[in-house]
Amino acid sequence: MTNPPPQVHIDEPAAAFDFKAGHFTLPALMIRQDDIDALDAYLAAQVARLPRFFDQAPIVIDLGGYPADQPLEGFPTIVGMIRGYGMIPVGVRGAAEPLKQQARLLELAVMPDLRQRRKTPPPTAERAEAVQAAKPTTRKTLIVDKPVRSGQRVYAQGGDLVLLAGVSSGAEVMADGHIHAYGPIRGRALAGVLNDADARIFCNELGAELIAIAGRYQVNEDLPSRFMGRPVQISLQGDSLQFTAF
Amino acid sequence: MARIIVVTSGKGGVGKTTTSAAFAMGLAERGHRTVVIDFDVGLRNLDLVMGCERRVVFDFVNVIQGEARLGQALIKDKRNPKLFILAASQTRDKDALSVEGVGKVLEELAQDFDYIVCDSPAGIEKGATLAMYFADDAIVVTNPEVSSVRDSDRMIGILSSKSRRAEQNLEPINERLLVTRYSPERVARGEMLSLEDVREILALDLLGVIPESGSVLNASNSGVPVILDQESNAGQAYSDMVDRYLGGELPHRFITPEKKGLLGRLFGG
Repeated sequence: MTNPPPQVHIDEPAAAFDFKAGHFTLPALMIRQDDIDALDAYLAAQVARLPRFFDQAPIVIDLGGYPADQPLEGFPTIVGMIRGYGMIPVGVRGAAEPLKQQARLLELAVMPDLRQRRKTPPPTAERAEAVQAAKPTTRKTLIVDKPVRSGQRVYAQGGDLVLLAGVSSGAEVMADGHIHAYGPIRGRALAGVLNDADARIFCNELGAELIAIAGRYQVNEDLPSRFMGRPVQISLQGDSLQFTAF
Repeated sequence: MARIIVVTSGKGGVGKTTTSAAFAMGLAERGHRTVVIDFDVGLRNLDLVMGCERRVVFDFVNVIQGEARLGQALIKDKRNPKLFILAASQTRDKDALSVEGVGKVLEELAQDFDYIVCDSPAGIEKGATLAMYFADDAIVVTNPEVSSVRDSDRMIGILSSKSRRAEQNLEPINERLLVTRYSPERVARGEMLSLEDVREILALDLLGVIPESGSVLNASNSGVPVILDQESNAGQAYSDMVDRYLGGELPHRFITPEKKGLLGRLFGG
C-alpha cells in the first residue's frame, strides 16, 4: 500500500530554532457597525459570562461584515477597549484597505482572508459569469487508514480528510475542507479550519472531545447526548453547530 | 541475528518489568539464548525482579561509556544458563544513554543471542524512546483502566513514528497488546474496562491477558520471575503468552469469572 503517510507532528528534541506550521483556533470578534457604546456593553456582558475564557485570550477582529466603503473612526478606541477587557487582539481579518493600514499602525497582524463569508452580497450577473468561467480548483483529499493515536495530529491541508479508522482520545484531526470519519471520533475534530463555514463533519460514531467548524466549537459536554455514539453529520448554521442523524 | 523486543507502556506501574522478566525467562526455558536489558537508568528494578541484585558489578551505562566490556556486565541467571541480564545504572541518569551507544551494545549482543528483551521505563522521554528505537517487536503492556489505555495509545503512536524502522521506512514494528492485572469478576460487576473495551480502543493484536494475582508480588519479593510459579494463574498466563509470541495459537485463559464450586461458595476465598 502506498498511501502517503499522514502528516503527524511529533515533538522531538530538535534544533535550537525552528519555524513550524502552527494552527490555532482563535475567537473572532465580528464588528458590523460603528457603535462603540453597544460594543462596550456587549463585551462587558460576554466577559462577565465567561471571565476566564476571555482573560488574556488572543482574538482576531473580523471586519468582513463591516461595509467596505465606510471608515471606522473609532477603530483605535475599539482596540483599546478590547485590551481593556483583558483580551489580546492579535490581528484583523476581512478589513478594507484603509482599515488594514490602521491595523498595521496599531501593530495588529492582517490575517489572510481566503474564503468569502457566507453573508456576502448576492453575486451580480458579471460575477456569476466569472465564477462559471473559472476552472474548478481541485482539492486533494488526505486518506488515513490507520488509527490516529493519542497525541498525534493530522492536518489535511487544502482539502478533505477521510479517516478509515478511529481517532483516539487525545488526538487531533483537522482539515481545510470536510472530515469524513468511518471510525469513531474520540479526540478533537476541526473542519474548515481556514474559515470555510461550508465544511462539514461526517462521522460514524460521535464521541469527540471537541468539534469545530470554521472556528465555532463545542466541547464533549455540550454535544447533544442523543447523538453520542451514533452516526451524525455536523454542519454550521450561522454561528452554531447543527447535528443531523444519518 | 537477534530479534529485539521492547516491553513498553507509557504508564508506570502496569507490569513492564514483571513482564520483561517473565517473558525473557519463558524464552530461555524454551531453549533460546535470551538477554533482558533494563533501560530505566537511575531507577533500576529488573535486577530485583530477576533476583540478581547482589551480583551487579558493571551496568549498561558502564558498557556504553567503555568502562567495562559487555562480558563483564552481563549477569548469568542462576536458574537458566541461557538467560542473561544487563542491569541499568543506579547512580547515573538517562543522559548517559545515547542512540549510538545503545545501538553498539545491541549490535554486539545480537551476535550471541536469539532474543533481546528491552525493559522500557515509564514515560515517553529519552529512556523510553531509546528502549524502543531499535525494536523489531513491541509488547504494549496495559491495565484495563482509562489512564493506562490512553497512555498506551500514545505510546503506540510514538512506536509508529519514532523508531528506527519508522525513520528508515522499513517494515513497521510488530506491536502486540498485553493486558495485565485483569479481573474478570470486576469486569462482570462493571467496575473495570472489559477486554473488548480495551481492544476496541487500542486496535492491536492481543498477545495475552495476565490476571490480577497475588503471586506477582510474591514473585518480585523473592526475585523469581512469576512465570516459574506454574501454580499461579499469572504464571500460566505468561507461559501462554510466550507460546503465542513464538507462533502458537492458544485460547486466552482467565478471562471469565471463576465458577465457584459448592465448597468454594460455602467457605468463600
